[in-house]
Amino acid sequence: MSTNATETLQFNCTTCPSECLLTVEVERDADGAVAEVRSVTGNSCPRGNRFAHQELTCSMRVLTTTVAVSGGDEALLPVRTAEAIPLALHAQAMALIRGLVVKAPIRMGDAVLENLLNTNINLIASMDIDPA
Amino acid sequence: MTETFDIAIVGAGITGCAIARQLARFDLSICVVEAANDIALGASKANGGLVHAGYDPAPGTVKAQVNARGCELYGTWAQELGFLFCRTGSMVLGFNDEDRAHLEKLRQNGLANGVPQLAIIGPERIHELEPRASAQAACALWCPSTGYVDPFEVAIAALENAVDNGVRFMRSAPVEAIEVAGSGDDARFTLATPVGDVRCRYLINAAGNGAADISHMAGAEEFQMVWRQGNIVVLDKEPRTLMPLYPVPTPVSKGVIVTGTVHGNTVITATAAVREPGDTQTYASDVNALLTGARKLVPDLDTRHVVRAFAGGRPVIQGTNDFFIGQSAVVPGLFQAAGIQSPGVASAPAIAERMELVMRETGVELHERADWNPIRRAPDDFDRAPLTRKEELIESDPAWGQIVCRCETVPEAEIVAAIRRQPGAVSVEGVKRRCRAGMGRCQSGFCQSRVVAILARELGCDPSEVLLEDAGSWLVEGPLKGVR
Amino acid sequence: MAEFKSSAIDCNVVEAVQTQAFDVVVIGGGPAGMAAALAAHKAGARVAIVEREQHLGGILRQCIHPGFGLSHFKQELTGPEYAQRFIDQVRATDIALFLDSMVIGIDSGEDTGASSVDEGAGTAAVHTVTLMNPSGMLQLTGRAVVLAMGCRERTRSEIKIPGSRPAGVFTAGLAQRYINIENLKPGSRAVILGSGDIGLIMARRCTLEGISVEGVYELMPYANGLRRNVKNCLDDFGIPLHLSTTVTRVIGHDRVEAVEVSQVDERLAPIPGTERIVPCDTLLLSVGLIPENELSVAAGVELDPRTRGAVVDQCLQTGVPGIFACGNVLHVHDLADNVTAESERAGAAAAAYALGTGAGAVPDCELSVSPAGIAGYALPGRITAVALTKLNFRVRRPVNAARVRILAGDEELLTGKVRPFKPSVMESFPLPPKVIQRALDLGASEIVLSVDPVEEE
Repeated sequence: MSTNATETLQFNCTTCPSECLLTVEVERDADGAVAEVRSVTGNSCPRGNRFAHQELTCSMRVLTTTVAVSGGDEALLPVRTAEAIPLALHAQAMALIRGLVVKAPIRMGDAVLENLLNTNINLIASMDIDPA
Repeated sequence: MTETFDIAIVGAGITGCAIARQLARFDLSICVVEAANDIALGASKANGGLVHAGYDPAPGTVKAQVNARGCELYGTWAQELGFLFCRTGSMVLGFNDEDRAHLEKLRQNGLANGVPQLAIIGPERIHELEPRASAQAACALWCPSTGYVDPFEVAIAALENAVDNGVRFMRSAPVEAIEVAGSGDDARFTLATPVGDVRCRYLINAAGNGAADISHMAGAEEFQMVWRQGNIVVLDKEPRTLMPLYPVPTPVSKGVIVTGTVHGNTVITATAAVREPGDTQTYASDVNALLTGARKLVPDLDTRHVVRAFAGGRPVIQGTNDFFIGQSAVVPGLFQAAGIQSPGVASAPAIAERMELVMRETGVELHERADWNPIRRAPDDFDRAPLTRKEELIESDPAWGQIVCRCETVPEAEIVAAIRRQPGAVSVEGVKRRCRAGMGRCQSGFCQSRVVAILARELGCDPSEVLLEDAGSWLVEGPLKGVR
Repeated sequence: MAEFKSSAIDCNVVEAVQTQAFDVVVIGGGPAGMAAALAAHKAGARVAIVEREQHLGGILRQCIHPGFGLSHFKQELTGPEYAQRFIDQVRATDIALFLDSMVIGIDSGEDTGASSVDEGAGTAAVHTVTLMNPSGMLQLTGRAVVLAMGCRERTRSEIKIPGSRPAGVFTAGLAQRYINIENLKPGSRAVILGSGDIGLIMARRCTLEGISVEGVYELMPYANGLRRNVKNCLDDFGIPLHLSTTVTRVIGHDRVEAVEVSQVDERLAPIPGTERIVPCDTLLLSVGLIPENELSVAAGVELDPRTRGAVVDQCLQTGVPGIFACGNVLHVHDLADNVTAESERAGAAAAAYALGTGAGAVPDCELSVSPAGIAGYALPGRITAVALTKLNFRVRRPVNAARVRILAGDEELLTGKVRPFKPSVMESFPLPPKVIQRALDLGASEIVLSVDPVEEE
């Protein structure tokens, strides 16, 4: 017997520029956590459905930021996580990245930090940096 | 630390700088003591740049005596000091019979004040002179001697020339107290400033909005000052620069004037409202009044492209509404140039001339130096240089080919020159006033970070220490990355 | 009386300046310029790119966030990655690069005494692009020029925010440059005015970099950026978005100390009594972008007052024959991918013009295109060929249900389906050749693109 409360949420899918407005029916447990995603409507492709489920269990985002460069013709290297990582880890990742310094030259796609916070995801260079 | 001079001038606004330049020709040691960290940071900066001809002040006032003369002197000053000055002439537009009567009164005033070639003209001539003037204008006072300058360029040029002739410039030196010794003392005034004391035999008060405080500190005249605040708007450049167009003046101000500038922008100047001393805020109501007023004079003016809006206070002596130029009646040896509100820019060279005369008359010995150099070589202005000169400059130093400010076409070398001149720029705004980097339509959105880097390099400081303007106006904190 | 007027720069004094000849000269090395150059190169033209920065890539170099490439590369890239892919492509060609180079003028000389039309491309006027860089002045000639200079940000002055003028008021793009390129922190406590994409992106960037964002304020009653950015940049971090609210005063003499915000009424005027003081040391402005067309105007290109970009035909050719425009210098785009697509068209058309391989130097027709209803602009502004034409437009306000109507005179030539429209999205509507022909058959000189709200059931 379920004592869970149901709730209808609305948010946009951010998988592609269509930005479908999803209407999602969820069931929450006594602690307010999402126990089950009952239905997803408003999506115009299957990715919307997958996005809604992921978003409500563990929001995943690509983290983009910069890393200090030594010996390059730019002071900073733009970097990204190769794949999305849990949003909840972004602040911790930023604290770790703040102190990093990478040496030029760097090529786009080079791993700047492997297995970021044990996510199995690498932090990679977004751009080439040539030596100064 | 104490330094002693024959003359100390308090205030590096256009008045103080003009006086310094005027007196630099004499065999005297002179110091200009400025509260701010740069030249022309007070009323001189918040100014429309018009060199009014002098038909406005009531005959017999001090203003009347120095305005027309100042306007006349601008030709020579511009040539000697190498600043831009356009003597375009101006029109006061009248829209009805009442206005016509007022224009006639202005013309009479002007004749009494020695303003040359004034004429009342009709619609045909008005539109010949300025095709964009309102078609509603029925008559105008045509005044060929009016012109415009960049007011900070004038102050900077005058002080550069003074410094070149040995005048000392002390910045960031607000006068906190003045001690006055007996009249026999060769250095009877002692000015206390945070960067050291300055002793002098003669003290010249050209402190603009601070003039009443300086006079009070010296135990001299108690001027009652009013902060008559004005908002000013700068519009983007026009293919053809507008002639200054005035409305018929009001009792307190010349009204909302539209004018071109030496750089081809259009300026709308200025509102007049008594506000709290020190208030340099712009107000939505004032800006709207400016735009509305301007469209009355130039109906097709595109007022959407505002490049900058700013405000400042005119140093007005309550009651007289006139300039006070002369020796203090209370403290001999103290010379005052107080209440220099509008038309302070137009009058500056004549105020300097009059100050020299006043000092001479009171027995100050002024001996001309043999080595005085009246000429200031203007810095290279890349944007205005002919193509061949541009090439020469780039050949002399590749930094002339490195454009930093794209709106005003200012290369790195020109910014470096602005910092290295004496007295040079020490802030982002100081750079802007000297070479226009950041003055354009993007308002430094593209170039500010580069100017900060150049200033940090040239001044040998960290970017976090670079200021937008004066103390406290930091732009950035330290680095974000590569730090623990 | 003495006169001290400035001496005008004389761009014709050029004897001493070196000249290099190309078919197509592209001004700007951002996403638009690179795509145009690559397309022109692919069409067989000799191409040069003139870029004022030391690197190719333009503003994308500082747009380190994801959201790029979804339509062009079918994968989500960051701005630098999107740029780098094009940089690599350009570097793999013999496209001549003039970096660190500032164009100071474009001269469209009617040279070589060309007067007869039947000599084909050989008679096209040659454009001379004068540029300068640290090694000197240089002139590039090209039968075609592509304008791809991008845009600039609207400033505080243009939106007339009253108050004092302290340090700490930055356009969002300048703050982005400080944070993402210069490694400098522009402040600690920020207020952001404007919910355009740059404002939203900067809210997230500031938060991640330890700059607290007090809130994003938006004059309009709706968010101006893409939904994804509201979600990923504000909602993710709990940053409040205050709609129908604007900054009415900047406070602080030397550095920003606070801003006053006020709610606005339906006419967007501040409502007295709703003022609130928000302490902060930084105000970021994301209040619109303006195509940078000073160079275009100087070259004689006519602008559309609505887009503030050039009036172009369906090939993206401006009113000056041989001068083309694309990307944000033409109209402000929402997505870099759209810039790329448009610029490829411009580059190909410029090459065809330069090489004389294009369809008809003589136009088929002359139709102007005007916006109506809630359409804020329509591009191209001219149609000179009976061919499939992509019409771009933006709406001026969001609507849940509206449709595009194509009109010529009183006749409705085409209608689109009823759907929602948002001002943040640059829309595209294809105009089939038969519709253009129909307009011509009707004797029309103008086609109207009207976006009209429809009553919802």
